[in-house]
Amino acid sequence: MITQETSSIFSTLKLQAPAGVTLAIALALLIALSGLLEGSARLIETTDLIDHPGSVGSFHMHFDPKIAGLRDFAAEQGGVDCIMFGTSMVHRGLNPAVIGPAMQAAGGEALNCYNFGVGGVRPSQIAVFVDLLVAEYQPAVIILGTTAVEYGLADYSPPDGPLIVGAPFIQHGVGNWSLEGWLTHQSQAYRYYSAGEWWFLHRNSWQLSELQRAQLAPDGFGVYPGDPEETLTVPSLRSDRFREEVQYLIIPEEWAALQAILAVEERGVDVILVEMPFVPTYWTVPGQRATYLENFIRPLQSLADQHDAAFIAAPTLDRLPLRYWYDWRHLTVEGSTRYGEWLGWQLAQPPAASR
Amino acid sequence: MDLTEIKTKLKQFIVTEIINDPDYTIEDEQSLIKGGVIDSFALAQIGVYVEEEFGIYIPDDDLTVENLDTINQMAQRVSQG
Amino acid sequence: MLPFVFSDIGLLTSWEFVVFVAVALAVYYVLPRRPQNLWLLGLSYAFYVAIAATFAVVLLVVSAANFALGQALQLGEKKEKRWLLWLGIILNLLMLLYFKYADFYVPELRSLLMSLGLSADGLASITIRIVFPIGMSYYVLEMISYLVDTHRRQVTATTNFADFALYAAYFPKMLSGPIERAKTFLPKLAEPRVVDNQLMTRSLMLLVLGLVRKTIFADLLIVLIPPNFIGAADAFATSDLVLYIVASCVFLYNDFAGYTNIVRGISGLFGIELTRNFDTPFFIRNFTEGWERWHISLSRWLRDYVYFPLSRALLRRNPKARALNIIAPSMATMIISALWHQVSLSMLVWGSMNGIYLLSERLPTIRGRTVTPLQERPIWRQVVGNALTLTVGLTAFVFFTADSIAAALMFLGNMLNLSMAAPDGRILVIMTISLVLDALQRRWGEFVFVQGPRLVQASLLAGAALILLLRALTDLQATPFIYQGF
Repeated sequence: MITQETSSIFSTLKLQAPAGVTLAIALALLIALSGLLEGSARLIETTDLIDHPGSVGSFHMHFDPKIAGLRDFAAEQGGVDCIMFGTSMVHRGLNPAVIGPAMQAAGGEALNCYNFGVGGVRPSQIAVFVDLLVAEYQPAVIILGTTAVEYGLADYSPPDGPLIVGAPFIQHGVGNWSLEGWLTHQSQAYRYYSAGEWWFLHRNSWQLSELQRAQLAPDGFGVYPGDPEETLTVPSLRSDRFREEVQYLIIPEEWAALQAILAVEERGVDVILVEMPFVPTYWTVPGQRATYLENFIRPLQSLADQHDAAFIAAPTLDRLPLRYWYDWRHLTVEGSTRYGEWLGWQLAQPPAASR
Repeated sequence: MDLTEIKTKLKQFIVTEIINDPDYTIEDEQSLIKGGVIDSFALAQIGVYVEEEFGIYIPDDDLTVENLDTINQMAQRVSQG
Repeated sequence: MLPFVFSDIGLLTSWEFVVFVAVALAVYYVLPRRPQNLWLLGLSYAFYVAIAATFAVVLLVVSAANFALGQALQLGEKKEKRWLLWLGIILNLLMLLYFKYADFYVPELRSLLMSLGLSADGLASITIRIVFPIGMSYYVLEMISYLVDTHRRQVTATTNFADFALYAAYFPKMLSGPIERAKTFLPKLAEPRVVDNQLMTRSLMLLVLGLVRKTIFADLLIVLIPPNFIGAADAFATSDLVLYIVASCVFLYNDFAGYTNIVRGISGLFGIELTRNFDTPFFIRNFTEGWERWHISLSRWLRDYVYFPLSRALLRRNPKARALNIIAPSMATMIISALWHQVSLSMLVWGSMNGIYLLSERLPTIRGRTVTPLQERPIWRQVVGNALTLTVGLTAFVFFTADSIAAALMFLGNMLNLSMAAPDGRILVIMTISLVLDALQRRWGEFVFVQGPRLVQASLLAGAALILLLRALTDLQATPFIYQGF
C-alpha cells in the first residue's frame, strides 16, 4: 500500500477518459451563447428595438445616459466641436441649442456642443471625464462651467463623483484594464445586462434615472419641467455650513484638478472657463461677493491667463432675476435660455472683449 | 435468541409503545423512519428497550436512520451484540 | 445556523480564494498522502491566519488540549476517565462561552467587517454574535464529540497530532461547518484519497450550485429585503411583512446551504467528502422532519450528544414517566440549540417554540393515540402539514431574526393589521426559482443536475456559468445613487 502510494505521482487524481466532455460541451455552448447574445444585442441597438442604450455600469442618472448620448450625437453630427463639462448647474444651465445659434447671431462661428454636465461631481472627477472624452472625441473646444462651491470644504454635492470615477468603465478608459471595463466599452449585450441589473436591484435609482433620461435633450442638456414658485428654496443660508461656505476656501486637490483640466490646452484643445451664476438671493451676507471675487474669481482668472484659456464671468444679477431660477443654483429652462443667449453673445466676442 | 423472536419483540414494542396501534402491521423490510411510521426521536426509546430487553447497548451515534430504518436492520444490529 | 457574515465578506467567493484553492489543489495532487495532510494543515492555518491571526493561536491551543485529553481518555483508568471527559467538555464549553460573549471582541470584529467593506449593522449584526469567534462554535462541537466518542470507545484516540489538528482546522469546513465527526473524518485522513470522475462531477456540481445559491439567490435577496423590516414593521403592509420574513428564511437557507455546497464541492476536489447540511427543508411536513433537513450536521450532533443521552438516561431511570421522558429531552435539546446560536432571550423563545412544536407532534404518542405515518397520510394532509409547519416555523423565526422579544412581538402585532400591498415581484421570482431547484432535488436526488442527457447537463452548466460570470463581474453591493435634490 505504502509503496504504491509513494511511487505513483498523481495518486489522488484518477480521472478516466472520457473526462471533461460535458465541460467542453458547456464551454462551447457558453461561447456560442455569448456570441448569440452579443449579436442580438447589437441588432436590437441598431434597429432601436428597445428605447434604451443600456448602461456602462456607473449607475449614475447623468453619466450613464450621457455616455450613450454623446456617442449617438457624435455619430449623427459627424463629430463634436465642443463638450461642456461641469456639475448639475451646467447640466441644467448651459443649453447648446441656445448658445450655438446665439453665437452665430452675434457673428461668431456656430459651435456644435454636447452638454456633459453631471450631477454631484467635483473638478477632480471632471478632470477624469475630460481626459477620457477628449481622447475619444477630440473636440476643438471644451467649456467648463464652474463655481467656488465645487472647490470648497462645505460640500453641497452628493458623493456621486468618486463612485462614477471608480466605475470600471472609466477606470478601464484611463488605462486600468479590467474585464468588466472592457465589456462596458465593447459589448452591447453587457451594457443591456448591466442596465437589467440596475433595473432589477436598484429600483428607485433606476426610476429616477429613467426620469432624467426622458428629460435629456439629444445634445445632453437637461430639460427640467418644474414650477419655480413652488420649488424655489434657498436652503440653509443662515446655517453654519453656509457661513463656512462663504469663506470660499479652496481645497488644493480640487484646484490641482482644475489645472489638469486646463492642461488639455497642450493637446490642442481650447478651454473656455465659465463662471456659473447663482440665484440673486444667494448673495445675502455682507462682503460675500467681495470674498468670492477675492478668493475664487481672481485666482481663477489668473490661472486662465496662465493657460491661455478664455474666462467668462457670470452676468450681473439683474440679468437673471428670481423668476428664472428653479432653486438656488439651478436655472429653469426659461432661465437657461435667457442665460444662453447672453453667454452665446459673450462667446462670440473676440478674446479681449470677453475678459 | 433467534432473529424471528427478536423481530417479533421489536415489532410488538413499536406498535404498542411508539405508535400506540397494536393492530398496525409492520413488515420486516418496511422503511419505518424514512417511511414516516416512527420518527427518529423514537430511536432513543428503541435503544433503551434493546438495552433492557436484550442486554445490548447500541451507541448513540449508531442510532441512525441509515442503520435502523427497518425491522430487519434492527434485528441484525441486536444479533450482532 | 447563520454563517452568512462570512459569505457576505465574500471570502469564499473572492478571486483570491479561487487562486488559493487552485494552488492548493495543484500541489496536493502531486503529493503523497502524508505530505498531503501536512499541506492541508499548513493551508488551513494560513487561511485562518489570513482572517484572524489571534484566533489561529486559540485554535492551535484548543487542538493540542483536546488531543492530549483524547490520549488520556484512551489510556486512563475507568474512574478518572469519566472525570477527564467532563473536564474536557466543560473546558471546551467555557472557552466557547468566553470568546463568544466576552465584550472585547465586538469592536475588533466591527473593524474587521468594516475593513472588508461590510456594514456591521442590520441583518448582519445578529450574525456577529453567532459566528464569532470565527469557526469556534463549530470546532468546539467537533472537539466535544471527539472526547465523548473516545470515552465511549467508538473512536480510538489518534496518536497523529497533525491529523487531529487537521480535523479541527480543515479549511473548507472551518468557517461554518459542516460539523464533522472524528469517527468518519479521521479515517479519511488515514487513507489515500481518490478523486475519480464521479467525485469530480459531484464536487463540481456542488460548487456551481453553491455559487448560484450564494451569489445569485442569497446575495440578490439580501439587497431586495428591506434591512429594517422587523424594526420598522409598522411602515410595511402585512402582506409585505409576510413576504419579507419568508424571503429572509429563503435567503438564510440559500446563503447557508450555498456556503455548505461550496465547501463540500471544494473539499470533494481534495478527495474528502463532507456531510450534507440541508435537504430541501421547505418541503417538510412536520417539525420532526424539519429537524432532519435543516442544518443537519448540527441537528445530528444535538441528537447524539444531547437528546439521546438525556433521553436514555431518563428512560432508564423511570420508564413509566412517559410525559417527562418525552418533554424534557426535546426541550433541553432545543434550548441548547438556541444557546449555541446566541445567548439572548429572543433566541430562547425561538428554541422553546421549536421545542414545543416538536413536542406537539409527539403529543398523540404521550396520550396513547394512534399516529398515521407521514407517507401514508393523504396528499392534502401532507400539503396542509407543510403549510402549517412553515407558518408556525416562520413565526418562531421572527424571534430568531429580531433583536429582542419586544421587537419580535411588535412585528407579530403589526401582522394583525391585515393590510395588503402589491408584492415585490423580484423577491417572488428568486424564491420561486430557488424552490424549483429544491423540488427537483427532492424528487430526483441531490445530484439531479448531473444526471440525465449530457446536453442538458452542459446547457445547465453553461447557463449557470454565464450568470455567475456576469454576477462576478458586477459589484452587487455597489451603492445605488438615490440623490434627488438637484
